[in-house]
Amino acid sequence: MNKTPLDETRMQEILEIYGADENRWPEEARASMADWLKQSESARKHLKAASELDELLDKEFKSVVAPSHLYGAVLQDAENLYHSQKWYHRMWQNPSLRPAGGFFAAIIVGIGLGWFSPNLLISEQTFELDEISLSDSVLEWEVDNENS
Amino acid sequence: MEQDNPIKSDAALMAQVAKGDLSACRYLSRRHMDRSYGLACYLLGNNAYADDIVQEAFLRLWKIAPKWQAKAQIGTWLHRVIHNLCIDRLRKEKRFSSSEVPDIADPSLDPTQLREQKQVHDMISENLQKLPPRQRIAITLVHFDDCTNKVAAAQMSISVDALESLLSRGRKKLRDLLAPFKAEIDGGIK
Repeated sequence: MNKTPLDETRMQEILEIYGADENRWPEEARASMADWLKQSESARKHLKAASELDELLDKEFKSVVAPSHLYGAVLQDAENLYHSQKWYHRMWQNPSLRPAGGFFAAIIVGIGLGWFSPNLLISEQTFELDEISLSDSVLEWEVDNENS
Repeated sequence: MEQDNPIKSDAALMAQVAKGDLSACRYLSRRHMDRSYGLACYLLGNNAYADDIVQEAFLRLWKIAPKWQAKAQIGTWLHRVIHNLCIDRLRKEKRFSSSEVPDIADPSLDPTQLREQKQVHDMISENLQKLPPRQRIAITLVHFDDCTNKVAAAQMSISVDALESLLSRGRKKLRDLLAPFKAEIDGGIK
């Protein structure tokens, strides 16, 4: 903190600019201001004058109350944001659950393929494939086909 | 919910919000709403716009919750967002209405006192709105938002000297505007 004493004009200015509350004064001026106010009667008069406007402003600012509909709207926004989402959206937002989601999807696909694949393969095409494999050659198989 | 380190306790609250905990949202709204609303009202000089700004600021808060880092207090973050939204709005509108004033709620006063206090409140509020916007913003940041001179100057993107000039002129003008009503004000605030 700068402890260089300020001249009286500057200290009066500080009261006019920032008011009487020392918490609002520039930090580097507070020590000088405190000394000045201790020693000078005129300083205390300036302080009192500044505090009158501060008191009005403080009362004005403290009286502000947000309307109840605004609370409602703000909380509704939160609810819409976090509770209207589907469970899988919320799950997807969690980075640690994303690999688990992929793994789970792979399991489902695997089970599905295993369940349906015999039916997929047993068809007329399967019969033809068997014939090809049992024939001595593709030419012989073609001849057989023509004869039949 | 308050802990020793407000930044850490705010981060814990935001983690709750990110999980969709509405009680954390309610707690944060109660704690920050009035000051946020007041800041927007005085920066804009218009209550209807203030509603929109505050709702937008809180929506941004809820949205940022999953990515919140323990680097700042929620109040500071909110006020910064509100300040920026208000400045954007002021730049777009280039004109302000000052007819509406915020509500007063003090159940300890009787109806006569309440009426007198409301008149005084209206008088101060109306005269605050008569200040040029930059003077009003400077006074709001320093007196209402408790910003230090350096923080207020940075938020307004001006030097500390320029801020001091705005504050000095603003306070002087407000004193002059309120001088004719001094007797009423002294009676109303006692």
